[in-house]
This record gives sequence, C-alpha cells and structure tokens, in this order.
Amino acid sequence: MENMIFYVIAGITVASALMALTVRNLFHCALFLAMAMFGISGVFLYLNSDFLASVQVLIYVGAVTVIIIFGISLTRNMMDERSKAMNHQFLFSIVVALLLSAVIIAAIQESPFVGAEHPMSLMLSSTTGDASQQLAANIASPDHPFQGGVAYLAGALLRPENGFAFAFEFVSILLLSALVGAIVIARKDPA
Amino acid sequence: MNNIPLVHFLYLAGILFGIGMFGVLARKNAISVLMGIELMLNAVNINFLAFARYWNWNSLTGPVFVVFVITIAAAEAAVALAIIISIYRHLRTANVDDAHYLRG
Amino acid sequence: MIQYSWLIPTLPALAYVLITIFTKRFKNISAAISILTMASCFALAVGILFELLKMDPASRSVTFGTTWLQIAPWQANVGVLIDPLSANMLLVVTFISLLVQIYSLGYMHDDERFSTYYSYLSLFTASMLLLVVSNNYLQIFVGWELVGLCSYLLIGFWYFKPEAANAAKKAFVVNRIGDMGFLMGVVTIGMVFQTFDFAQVKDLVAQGLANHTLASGYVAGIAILLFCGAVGKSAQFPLHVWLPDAMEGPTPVSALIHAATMVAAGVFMVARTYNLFSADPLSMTVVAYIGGFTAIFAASIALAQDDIKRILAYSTLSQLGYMIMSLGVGGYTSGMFHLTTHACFKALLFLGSGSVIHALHEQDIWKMGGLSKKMKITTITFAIGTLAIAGIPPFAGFFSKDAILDAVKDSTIWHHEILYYAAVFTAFLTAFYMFRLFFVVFTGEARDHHSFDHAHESPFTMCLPLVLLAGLSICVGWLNWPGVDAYSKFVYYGDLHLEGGASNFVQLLTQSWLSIVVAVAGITLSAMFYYWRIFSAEKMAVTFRPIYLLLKNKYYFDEFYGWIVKTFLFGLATILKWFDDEVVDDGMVDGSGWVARKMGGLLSLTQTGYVQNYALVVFGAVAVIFLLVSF
Repeated sequence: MENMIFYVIAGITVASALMALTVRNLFHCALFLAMAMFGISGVFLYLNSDFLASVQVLIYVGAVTVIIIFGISLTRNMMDERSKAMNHQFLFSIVVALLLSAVIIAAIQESPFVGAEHPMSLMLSSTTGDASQQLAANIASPDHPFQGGVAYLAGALLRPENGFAFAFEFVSILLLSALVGAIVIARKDPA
Repeated sequence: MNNIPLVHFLYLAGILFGIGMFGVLARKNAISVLMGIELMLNAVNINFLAFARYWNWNSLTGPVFVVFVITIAAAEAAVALAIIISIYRHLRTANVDDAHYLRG
Repeated sequence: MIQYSWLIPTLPALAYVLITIFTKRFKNISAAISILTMASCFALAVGILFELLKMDPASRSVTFGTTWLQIAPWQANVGVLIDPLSANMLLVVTFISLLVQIYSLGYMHDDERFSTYYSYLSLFTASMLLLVVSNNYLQIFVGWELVGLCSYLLIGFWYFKPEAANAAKKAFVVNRIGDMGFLMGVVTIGMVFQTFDFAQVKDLVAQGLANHTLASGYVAGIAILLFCGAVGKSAQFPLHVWLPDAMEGPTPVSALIHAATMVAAGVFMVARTYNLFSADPLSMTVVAYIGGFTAIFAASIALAQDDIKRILAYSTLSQLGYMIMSLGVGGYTSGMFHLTTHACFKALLFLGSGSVIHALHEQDIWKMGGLSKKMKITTITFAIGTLAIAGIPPFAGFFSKDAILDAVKDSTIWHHEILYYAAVFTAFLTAFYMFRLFFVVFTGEARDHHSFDHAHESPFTMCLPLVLLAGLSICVGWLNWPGVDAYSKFVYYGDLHLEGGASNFVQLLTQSWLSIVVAVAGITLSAMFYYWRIFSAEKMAVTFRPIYLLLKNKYYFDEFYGWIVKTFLFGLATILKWFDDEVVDDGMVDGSGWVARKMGGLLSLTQTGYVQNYALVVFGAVAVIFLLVSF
C-alpha cells in the first residue's frame, strides 16, 4: 500500500511535469508546475526528509510558482494565444531529451544499484574486518533510522566541524546580492 | 521504512530531468524555459536525497546540498525573472527566439 | 713587438668609441685622442717592421689568434697575421692616416662636426687595419665591409649637400655589387675547404693542385669571385664609377681613400690571396686585362676633366689599374711597391689640392692659375708629387712604374705586348694630364682675381704633412735603388728571385729609356699646350669635339648605368610590381583575407544567436559523449 502510493505520486509528478512543459497556456503551465512540485515534495517524504519536503512546498509551490505567475502576468499582453508554444528545434529537442534520458536510465541499469535495496550491502559482501563493521554501522536500518530530522540538518549546516557553516553564510550573501541584482535589472529606467 | 528500491527513485529523477531538458530546449517562452530549469534542479534534488537515504545515513551531505540547491534555485528564479522582464521591456516580447543579437 | 700587433686595429677603434661617447663636445680632445692613437699605431708598425727585418727572411710570418665563434665544421677565428705584406700595408696605412689627421686639424677646423669627423677617421683606419692584419677570409670580409661603411659616412660627411649624399649612396651601392662577389667567394672557400684560415687554405690548395683533387679552373673561379670585391673596392672597370663621385667628401678623406684606407684594400686583398689567383692563368689574365684596361681608360678620361679633384681621382683609377695589372702579370712585388709609392705621392697630391681648395674655395682648374706666387710650399710639393706620378727619375713613381712595365714586358700571359703598349701609353697620358693640371693651376696668370687675391698659404698643420709626403715621394722609390733592392728583398711571393734588374742607376736609366721618353714627351706636350701655349687646347677641343665630349662625359658610363638601371631594373621592378599587385596583393593577401572571411562566414552560421540552439548542442554532445565512452 505504502509503495503503491509512491508510484501514484511519481506518476502524477511525471504527468504534471510533462503537462507543465507542453501546454500552451502559460498560466496553466505554472499551475502544472506547482502540481509537479507537490509531487516531488511527496517523493521527499518517501526519502525520510520531512523538513525538506515542507521546504519544497514552501519555496517552490509558495514562492517560485508565485514569482513565475507574477512574471507571466507582467508580460501578459504578449501572450498571443495563437502563437506556437514550441520553437523551430522542437523535434531535435525531443530526440536529444529522449536520448539523454535513455542514456541515464541505461546507466542506472548498468550500475550495481539494481536489485539492491541498500546498495551498501554490496560493499559489505566485499569487505571484511573492521572496515565492514564500520560500513555496517553506516547503513540505515530500523535500529539506526535515517536522520532526516530538522535538528540533524541544522546541526549539519551550522556546526563548524561539519564544514558547511561558511558555505551556509555565504549563500545568504548570494541570496542578498541576487535580490539586489534582480531589483537593479528589473527596475524601469535607471535615471 | 519502506522498501522501494533505490533505482526507482533514480528512474523518476532521470525522467523528470529529461522532461525539464525538453522544456529548456523546445519552449519558446522564456518563463517556460525557466520552469524547465526548475524541474531539472528538482530532479537532481531527488537524486541527492535518494543517495543520502540509501547510501550513507550518517553523513548529512546530501540534504545539505539540497538546501543549497533550493536556495540557489530561488535566487536564480528571481534574477531570471528580472532579466525576462527587462528583455520584455526592451523588446516587447518574452520569446527567447527574438533575442538573438549575438547571431554570427 | 709583434705580440702587440693586435693593438693596431684596436686602438683606433677604441678612439672611435671614446670620441663618440665621451668627447664629442671637446674638439681638441677628440682630435688629440685620434691623432695620438694613430701615432702610437704608426710607432707599433715601425717596431713590427724592424722586428720582421731582424728575422730570417724565409720565416717572416707570424700569426696568432683566438676563436670568435664555432659552428661545426667551421670555425671563425679572429687573429693577426704579420708578414712583410701586412707590415708594409700597416706602415702605409698608419702613416698616411696620421698625416691626414694632422692635416685635417687645419682643413676642418671650422667644421661643426669636427669631433664626429675624427671619430669616423679613426673608425675608417681601424677597419682598414683590421682588414690588413687579418689572418682569415672572414675577418678580412668584416674589415672590408666596415671600410665600405666608413667610406659611406665620410663621403657623405656633408650630407646636407645633395651631391655628397648621392655620392655616398653611389659608393656604397657600387661597392655592394663587388662585395656580393667577394662574399660568394668567401662562402665558397668555406664550403670547399671547411676553413677560412689563409695559411690552411693555401696549404689545401697547394695539396689539391699537386694531387689533382682540385681543378685549377675551380680555384680560378673562386679567385675571380674574390676579384669582384677588389674591382668594387679598388674601383676597377666596370665598377669605377663611384670613385670620382667620392670627391664630394672632405679633401683629406679623399686623400685617405685614394692613398691608404679604401682603394688599396682591393689590391691588398688580391696580394693576400695571391696563391688562389696564381693557380690558374685564367684568373691572372682576367686580373691583368681589367687592370690594364682601367689604367688607359681612366687616364684618357682624366685628359678632359676640369675639376682638380676629379683629375686626381681618375689618375688614381689609372694607377690602381697599374697595380692590379702588375699583380695579374705576376709582378707581385712591383704591384705592392707601386701601391706604397702611390700612397705617398697620391696623398701628397690630394692634400696639395686640398690646400689649394682651402685657399680659393674653388675646385674648377680654369678659375685658378698663377698660384705659385702665393703658395710656395704647396706649389713645390705639388710639383714633386706630379713629377713622381709622371715617372720622372729619381722620383718614387719612376721606380715602381718602371718595375711594373718590366713585369708586364717579361710576363707570359696571353698577348702581354698589348698590355705593355697600353701601359706605356698610359704613362704618357699620365704625364700629360698631370702636368696640364699643374700648369693650369700654378703657372701663368690668375684667371679669377677675386679668389686669387684672397689666396694664402695654408697653416702649419697642413704644410707639415705636405712637406713630409714630398720628401717621401722623392725617397721611397730609392728603397729599390738598383743594386740595393731592399723592397724586393722584403716583399715577395714564393721564392725570392731578382732577375732582369739593373745593377746600378745608370743601367736602369738606359734599360727603361722608353718610359722616361714617354714621360718627358707627355710633359713637353703638356707644356706646349698649357705653359708656352704654342697650341690651343680650345681649338683641339673644337676640332676633335666628339672625342672631347666622350672623354669629358667619362665615356657616358654614368648615363649608361643609369640607362641600364632605368631599363632593366625598372623593367624588372615593373614586372615585380605587377606580380606584387596581381598575385601577391590581389591573389594571396586578399585571397587569404577572402578565405578567412568566408570561413568565418561559414562558421558564423553556427552562431545562430539562439540560446536554445547552443543548449541543444551541449546536451546532444553530452549524450553522444556518454555513448562513445560507454561503448
């Protein structure tokens, strides 16, 4: 049952993603994108990442989609309903997209992840002694559930010994500059 | 703990990536292109989390990267929309095709 | 003393550097440096001469040197070769240069570029000395080219005069034609013998000729190539045109060029490489006939010239012809002896003419006249020089010219009697035109009273060299006083042999009655025209107008060369210009541009300006690379 729901969510996600990029009406596109984002947040839940799933909803569905809808509204009068949604290299794009997807899927099938619920068990079988014990300790199991909680994530980000603290602070500066840059670019006439 | 195999997450991510790429390559409207890019980024996020979940749960590197990706995607979306609006103001269009001043 | 011989070219070169860098603003110091270095060079040359005389006659050759650069299998050396030939030249060059530099103190004292003038003189002499002491073909070529450069600088010293600038260019370009042959000769020597050293080449040639691995015609070819250089530098026909124009330089420079540092280089080079020339009769014949022809040809031109320095210039050509001819017929000693005596009396004549020019500021002999009343020293010394060049015994020219005539008479080359009569006739012409010059300039009445009234004897610094040179013009010939033969015993090629020579002076006079008779005849005829005025030169000129015009215009050689240049060179240039315009410019230059533009246009098709195009290519390429890597 749990698994079935996952596949349903995955199917909805793929379908709405397809719709988002093929429908001609841009407004509908944005709504389908929001739907796909919802689906992806559901997939995140299946990966034991509750916090990131809620962040996904907040940011993509709440913020990005809204920004996109704003953009659509601001450029609305150019949305000629009769104009084509696709450009002239539409067919080539399908070919390339299918080709690359096929390559990715083929690569996954060639990989050792196929048929292994926990890929680490593959490595366990090929190692012995202390190394195998260490590896075993790292495998998520009912005794050691995957640490997807927000507290762990915050610790990972902000504890200096994890090495991400500086990057985290730096990203905040990036966000700020993106904010300023966006305003400068989109401002009317810089008098 | 569910027992969905890792590869299924990977398949899903691959398909979403392909769809997003198609949007980037084929859509005329710049905003649609932006949507395609968001979708590709999310496909990558799924991969990050899937490997974090199945591979090495002690390390939180995967979720951390997802946080960064989301942040940067948001910044990118803001700047991209600003550019689209700026182009629109100059060219009266949001079609990527119409902005080809660099044609050789 | 010989171990210090490397100082001889080095000191003047050092003087050049010192003057150029430090003392350009101080006239007197510059002149002092230049003259003192030259005097010390002269002293060294005298010392070297005496040291050589003390040595055994068979081994009077000292050489040493060091490697300049090495490009296997060739080794370029820089070194010194002191033997009687170079000792003789060292003495001549340093002495004449010293006197010319002293003389220039007076002659150039008002010139603004006095220091520069002295620096050039030093460099000129240094180059000539480098050439003279050289022990290999490469070094002689370096000196050779430096001499050419300095002649350019000095002939064009008054470069603001267009004639001087043109004359300098002409000298340089004409010399270049000869130098091309010389360079080819040197390179051929390097390729054939793998060495540039005089002594080694000499041995290899002797060996090759002895065991028939080397054709004598081949050596003759090399010799003729080298001779091309001598033809240019010693102004032999057909490259003689530059020397008369070189008169545009300051007169002391003319004296230097004509007597010591430039034209003598060609003769010296032929003497230095005499083993190549004497290997085959062909090269000897070429040399002899070119020399003989130049002698009579230049002497005939001199008959009809009006410019005092031009007459002297053509007489130099003629005398150089004598020397070259002498070397060509095998008269090695007589050629070098004539070079030595000629250096004395030609320097004297030029410096004397410089004294006249200094006094009158005039070069046309028909505006002079009666100068003997005003310029006693100049007149007497000039008369001595004229007698010497005319070949009147016992002046220096008599001995050397007579030796040349003897050598021609005794030689075995093809139709040597033609050369002999040409040489005798040249002697007659020489006596005639030199006394024409003397009578017109120094005797009779003044023709231009304005400049005559301003005429004055030259200052001491100019008279001293005149007197010294006049003394030498009398005495130098006595070195070969019959029975003494000091010079012949010193400078000779191969084995010493004194044959056919007179044993005392009276015998010499009787033996060489012909040359004395023609000289006296020339002088008498000249006096009839220009002193006693029994005949009128003007009427002669009218009667034989075509011949007069031909001589006056130097056989139209300048015009002929001008025509050749115009027709052939400009024709060639027109063809090349067409080639350049049509093939190089339109075809290759524009063509490469066209190709680049078209290629760019083709490639710019890939630059569609559509961002999504680029993205498509990027993703497509990623897919393709994935496929290529995995299979």
